[in-house]
Amino acid sequence: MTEPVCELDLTRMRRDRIAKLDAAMDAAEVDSLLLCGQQNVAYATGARMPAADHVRAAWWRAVAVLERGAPWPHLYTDFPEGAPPEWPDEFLHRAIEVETASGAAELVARLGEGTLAIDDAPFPLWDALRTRAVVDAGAVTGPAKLTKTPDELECIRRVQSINEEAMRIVRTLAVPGALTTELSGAFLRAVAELGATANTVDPVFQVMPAAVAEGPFSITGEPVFPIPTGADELQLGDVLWIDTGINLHGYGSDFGSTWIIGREPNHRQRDQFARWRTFVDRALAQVKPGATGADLVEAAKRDDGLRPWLSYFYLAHGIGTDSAEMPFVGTTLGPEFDASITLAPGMVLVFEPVVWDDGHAGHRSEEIVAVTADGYVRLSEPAELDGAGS
Amino acid sequence: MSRLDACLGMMVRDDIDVLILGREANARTVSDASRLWLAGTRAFAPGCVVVRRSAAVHVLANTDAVVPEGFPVDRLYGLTWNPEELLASLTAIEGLGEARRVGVDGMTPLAHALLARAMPGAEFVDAGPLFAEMWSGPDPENIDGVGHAAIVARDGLEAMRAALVAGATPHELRGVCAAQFAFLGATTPAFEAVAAPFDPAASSWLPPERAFVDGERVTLRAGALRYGWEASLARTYVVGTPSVEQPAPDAWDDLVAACVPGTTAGALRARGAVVHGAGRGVEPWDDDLVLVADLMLAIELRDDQGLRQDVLRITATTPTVVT
Repeated sequence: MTEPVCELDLTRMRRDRIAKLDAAMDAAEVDSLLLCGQQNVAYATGARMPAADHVRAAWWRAVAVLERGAPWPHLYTDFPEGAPPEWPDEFLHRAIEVETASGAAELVARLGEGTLAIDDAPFPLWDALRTRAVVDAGAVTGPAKLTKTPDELECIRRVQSINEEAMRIVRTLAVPGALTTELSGAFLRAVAELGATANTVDPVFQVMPAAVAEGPFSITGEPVFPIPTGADELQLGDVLWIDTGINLHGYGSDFGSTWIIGREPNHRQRDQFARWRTFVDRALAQVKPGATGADLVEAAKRDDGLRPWLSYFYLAHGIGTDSAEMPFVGTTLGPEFDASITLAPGMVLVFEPVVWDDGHAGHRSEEIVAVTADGYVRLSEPAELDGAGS
Repeated sequence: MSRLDACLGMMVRDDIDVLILGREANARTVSDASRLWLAGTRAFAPGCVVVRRSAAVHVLANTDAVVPEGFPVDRLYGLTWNPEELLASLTAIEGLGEARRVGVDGMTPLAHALLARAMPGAEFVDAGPLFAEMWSGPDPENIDGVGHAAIVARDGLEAMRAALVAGATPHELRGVCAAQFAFLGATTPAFEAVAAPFDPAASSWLPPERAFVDGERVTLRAGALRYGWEASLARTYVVGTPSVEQPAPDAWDDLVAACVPGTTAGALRARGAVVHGAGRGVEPWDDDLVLVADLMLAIELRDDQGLRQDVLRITATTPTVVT
């Protein structure tokens, strides 16, 4: 079992996040922060919204506006019952329909003067802001979110624990003859019963081909992952890659594992996992304040110098109210970007290297840690071949 | 005429050279792509491109496993975290660099800076009205797609109803619905199923963390996204053994009877209804949208006793309840 990071206090967590946003606004000299992205609204306010498909969610979107120095963000929502209990009435408002020109104009009229930062705009809102200079809200949300408070880390640990517990149930069902969609159903049911706030991604249960050429067309020549789950019937010996994410109090989990269907993993599969373990352990040995993303990339390289992860993803990424957020390590942003990432206490890293032996499939798992004052603490169980974390 | 042809025709009419689409429902509409489903909003980014001059759709994907069979792989562009690589992919698309008027379905400061480099001097206009117009006309595929989703949604709601007993929790019922959807092959929802105490003063979308009690009014909502088409329904029950479905609001039958060709969405809203199109997701309708035969309409009404929501297919006379 992972150890609790702290006694979770959601009110304290929300208060700390507002303080961090305010400090980041000061540093970035941003006067008004306008947030329309639901993960950012959740970060700034803690407000809940129903989990829905993209366009529905866009029409339902809550909006948060934080003015520099203000004690609370203004929250505009169709779901006032989802606002935190401590939210002052004068900062809680009926929703403004920013998908329409009239709603967008109404919201813009309420914004303070000065530099405005925005994360995402429906076109009518973008149009209504034509006369204003806007900067990307990442200048504020990026620094605020980069390191997590103990309460945030505890949320991530708990949501990951729910995800792992659900996977222990699902693992028993992943047998020859089962449909991958049945695994999705069992997973979604389990996470709901275990108390997850919501599911955030169509659960991925992907049967991997032995060789890239035997699988679907790949634009990079690497294994293609993830592909949405269809109703595939599991066969004896299938190599199943799993990737799921759920939400608790606004924070995401990220579970990755490799299961072998209907029999014990063979020698090569155990060796693939051992290599995966080695790559992650080498990187973990570097994880402490002051180390850079480049240090992690260098440590995790294969002996032949190649990078054991999918080029279109990463060696590691952060997680918080977004399923993948800064810090990104080992991406196509390149070596200079990796070198610019300096680890600090409270940063979260989700390691997800991939070992691939073309012709014999491969191994992919994920492990989550948080940087501490002198190293790291685990927020997920250590990865386990053919399991849900040991 | 295919949806893409219809889209290209509107682009000609409206003098739009290129569409850059970030919303998944819009991308589904022009490409039939079925990429990984994610809950919630996401920041605008160029996930799908339509070029008028070449009549081509380009899709952000690393594989053709997520686009219809026969989709040319040279019209896929790859996932990357590097905006310079994305810029290179976009500028490599034939006809994009010369675009003067570009329809977009959202914007961010970062995307604006990127697109301004990919299409110097281009004017950005709202792609929303174009999609709203496409969704305001009947489409046989829409009828079929929503019909399949409706079967899933209905079964999910029925499974929830069977599990609605005193002591059951909103979380449990949500899980029951998701499992039933998946049993029918649908692992993606239009929204995560809701079981919430009926409260005329609340949204009934966010349940409290407690078990239901005997005699309580509870609204169940189920919405499925099946092959990229959505359908949803809602009913209100009184918890018991078994739980009993409540009659529809008094004005329901009159409301449904009013859903005939010639009626506007605004006229239905004036009766207190929540109204939108059902298709590639929620299809927002303006008040002046006029119903025509074969449109698929989601409609909801509530009174003090409960609420009901269904998807209707408009016909020449009485609408057909699809859910």
